[in-house]
Amino acid sequence: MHASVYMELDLNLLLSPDRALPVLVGLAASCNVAFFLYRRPRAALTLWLAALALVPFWLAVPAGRLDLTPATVASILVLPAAARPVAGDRMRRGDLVLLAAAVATALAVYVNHSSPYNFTTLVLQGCLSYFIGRRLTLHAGAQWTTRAIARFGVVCAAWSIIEFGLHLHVFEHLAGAPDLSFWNGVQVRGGFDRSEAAWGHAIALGGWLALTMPFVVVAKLKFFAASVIVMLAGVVLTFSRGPIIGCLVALLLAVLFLHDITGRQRATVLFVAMVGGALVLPTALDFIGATSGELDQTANYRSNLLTYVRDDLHLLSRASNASLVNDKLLYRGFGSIDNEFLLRGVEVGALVVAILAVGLIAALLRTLRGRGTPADVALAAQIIVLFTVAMITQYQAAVFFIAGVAVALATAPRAPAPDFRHLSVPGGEAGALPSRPQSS
Amino acid sequence: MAPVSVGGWLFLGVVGAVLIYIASRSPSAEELEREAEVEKFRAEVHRYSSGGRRPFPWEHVIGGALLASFVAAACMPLSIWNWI
Repeated sequence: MHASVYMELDLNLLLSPDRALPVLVGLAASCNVAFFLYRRPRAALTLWLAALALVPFWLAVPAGRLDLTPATVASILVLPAAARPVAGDRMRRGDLVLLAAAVATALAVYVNHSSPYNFTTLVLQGCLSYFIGRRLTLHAGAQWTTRAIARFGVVCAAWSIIEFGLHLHVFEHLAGAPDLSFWNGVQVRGGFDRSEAAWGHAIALGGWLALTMPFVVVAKLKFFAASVIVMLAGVVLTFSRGPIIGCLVALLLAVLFLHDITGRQRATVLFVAMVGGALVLPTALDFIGATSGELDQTANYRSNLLTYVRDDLHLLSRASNASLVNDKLLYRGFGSIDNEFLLRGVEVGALVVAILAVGLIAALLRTLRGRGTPADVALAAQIIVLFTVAMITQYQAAVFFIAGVAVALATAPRAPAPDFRHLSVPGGEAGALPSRPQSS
Repeated sequence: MAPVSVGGWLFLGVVGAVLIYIASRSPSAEELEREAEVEKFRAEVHRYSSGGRRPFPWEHVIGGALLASFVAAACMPLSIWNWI
């Protein structure tokens, strides 16, 4: 993924004669779409979420030497809508955390010679997605955004079940950007196809489902119990242990620490978790036992990484014994590092990891103090997932988007009151309450 | 000849059509601003009517204990890392 994203935008390549017409037509169409979405924040957010969750990562749009992922392209299209001013919105502490991480990454890249793609991906996938979540949530409304994210989670979970049941992988042979199309393969664990929907990898799909689980819990969807069951089944069928645990922890935290759910919903989730656990756990444990060979390899590899990285990490530069070979990071012979904290630490130094960890810990603390929103719960539960996976495909955009939503929801008004027309207040009539705007 | 994913493009076509339908029914920013004003008004009323009282958060106490026991059970033998 990283290898294809460079800092240099080669305009000669972009505007070569054979490409000029499609580029101009594409730009004109994009301007029209951006103009249409400018005054329709909910449509903008729906488009962005669809590009994130329903379009394969490898259908990236080439722009010179850059490959713009679907979520990045959508971010550019909805950027004017997100940038519209919001009354009373100002810089928050969450914004400062991301700004500090971006500055530290830039220093690591341009002063200490870490690879430029670290900064490019942080800006194009991380910061853009954060900004979209941060601002479009305020424009579209907190409740509507919560429901929209929940619906996209349930859709992906249902898709995961259909993939597993029908062995139907619609994107399996779909060709896209030449250097990214290898993501169209389907992984197998223990003889079973792992569901991955449009995410290109089962772990990325599982991570997205874990991220959206708290939203499903509080979204007041029509079929609450069925939605939770579909979410759990969907994440189990990715056969990814980190996201499965992350999803369960997200569910537990949401049920225990969020205010916006009823006692009946808490009881429903408890019942679903108990019955589901009794039905699924024996089979799941049998399966994990049967595939222990594959899992031991993964676990040993992570243990080996941990023993080395303590001595090799630097504060603000690429780690010792790490190098780029054919644009691919190699660390002590390891071609991939399935731990986002370690990977980022190896690439740009421990300081960036520490800054981003502050944001995650803040979300965890807000959750445990009972002040959290679904987005805070999602981020808190992601800490476990991020220890077992790097931010592959569009999962990075998803995590930063939810971080933006978390900051926005923390500033948005909380859930509205019950029907205020029946309230008794001094003055007697509802007409004595603060003046109600006309909605017609 | 490499296999071609017709189903993939069909699926994306359906997604595009649904998006166009949703966009055509999407409220404008002005309508949303009016809606936000109403929400703000409701929140004001809620705060006024509840008198600022909050029940004791017993679920956080139980939840914290459950979570702590979960984490402790997972981490004490230090086996969770290898299992993950």
